[in-house]
Amino acid sequence: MEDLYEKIELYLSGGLNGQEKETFEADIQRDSSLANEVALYRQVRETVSRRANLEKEEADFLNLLNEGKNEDKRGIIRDFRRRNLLIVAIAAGVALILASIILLRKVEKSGPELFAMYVEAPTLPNLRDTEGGVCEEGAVQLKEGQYADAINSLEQCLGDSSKGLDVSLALAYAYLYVDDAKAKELLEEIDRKRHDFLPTVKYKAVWYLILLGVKLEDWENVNAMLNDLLQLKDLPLALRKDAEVLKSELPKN
Amino acid sequence: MPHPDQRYIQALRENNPKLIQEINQNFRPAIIALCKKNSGNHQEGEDLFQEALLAIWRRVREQGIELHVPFGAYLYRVAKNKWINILKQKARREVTFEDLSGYEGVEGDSEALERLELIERQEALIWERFKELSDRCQEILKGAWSQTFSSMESMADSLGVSYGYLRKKKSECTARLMKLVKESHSFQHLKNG
Repeated sequence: MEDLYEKIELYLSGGLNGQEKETFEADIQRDSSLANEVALYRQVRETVSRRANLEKEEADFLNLLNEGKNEDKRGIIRDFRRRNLLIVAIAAGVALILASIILLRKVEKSGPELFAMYVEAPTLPNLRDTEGGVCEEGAVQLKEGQYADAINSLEQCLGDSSKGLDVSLALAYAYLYVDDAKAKELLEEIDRKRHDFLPTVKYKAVWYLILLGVKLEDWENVNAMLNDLLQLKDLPLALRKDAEVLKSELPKN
Repeated sequence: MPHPDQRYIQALRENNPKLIQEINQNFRPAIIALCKKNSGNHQEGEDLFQEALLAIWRRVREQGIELHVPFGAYLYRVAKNKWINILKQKARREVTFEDLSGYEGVEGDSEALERLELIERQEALIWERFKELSDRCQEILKGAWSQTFSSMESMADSLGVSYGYLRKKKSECTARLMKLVKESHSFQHLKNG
């Protein structure tokens, strides 16, 4: 068989002389199996020749094709990264907002905290003892935070009609720490009275009502009362300032 | 007059990186989808795309192509036939094929394409068998048949062997390759249509 292939090779490569070539071609015409062998050999030879010649270029083309695919994949990865970056940015934004809310909630003070910050005992300039010292005693107890004792003393003190509103305000102040409902009742009573000659007591009573609302975290009423208070033209400057600052510190929601 | 997509054929002829990337982006998904829709997976789809495009690239190199249909339709046709043959080889029976390409009827001269593809399959098989030979045999047959050398004597010099050894070895390698090709069941099948 190897000899046959050598002869076919010579025939296909032009290595047979004229006579040899004619004889071989006559054999091919006569013998179909030889013709098939020659045809197959030619196909194998040409295929190997073409593929061998294209092999290097083919490798270059495949590299190019795969570079394209990789570029495509890199594009997908870039898109994926971009998408991820966007997701991360959104997540970071949401986290920041949440953190801010949490922080703000932490910064925002509770009603009792705000109440403690803003509430101050009223000044009691007219509490001169005429009834065995209970008025002065009540003032001292109030100052020292002995509210139950102060209530007891100040209620006795209230028997002296000349000390009405000041003492009532002091008593209401003491009740702010002991009995919210009683404090509210007293403060609203002061607010209802005509006391053109003592507007600061009225304003102070309203202020205590506001602070009671703060303590109870009744924010809607607190806001409404603060707005009303801040509209008063003759509101003492110090109280106006306190009212404005308190308003800014109220919880946002 | 060639189809406007002839530019892709030109790109394959010139190995134009930009347009080859465009081919990748525009046509690869359809070939992968074809494969996946017909019992294949994504990787087989990738391989099919590469094989089909490589087949067209070879045609462009060896005989040139004048495109009268969209490039996508032509590529799809080549890929589809390749995939049907792969499925047939796997199943050893006729296969049904689901075609969602929208390219049916715009595939050009089917008969001519089928003849071409039959030859390509035969050649692919010959090349596969060639690759089964030893490295030495491959080197010798490539050298002898690809006209790298002006003569067997110069080839023997280049390989550092005697002319007699080279001649004998070449005969053995040729006989071995012919035997491998003839014994191939697939090749017999291809020959008989």
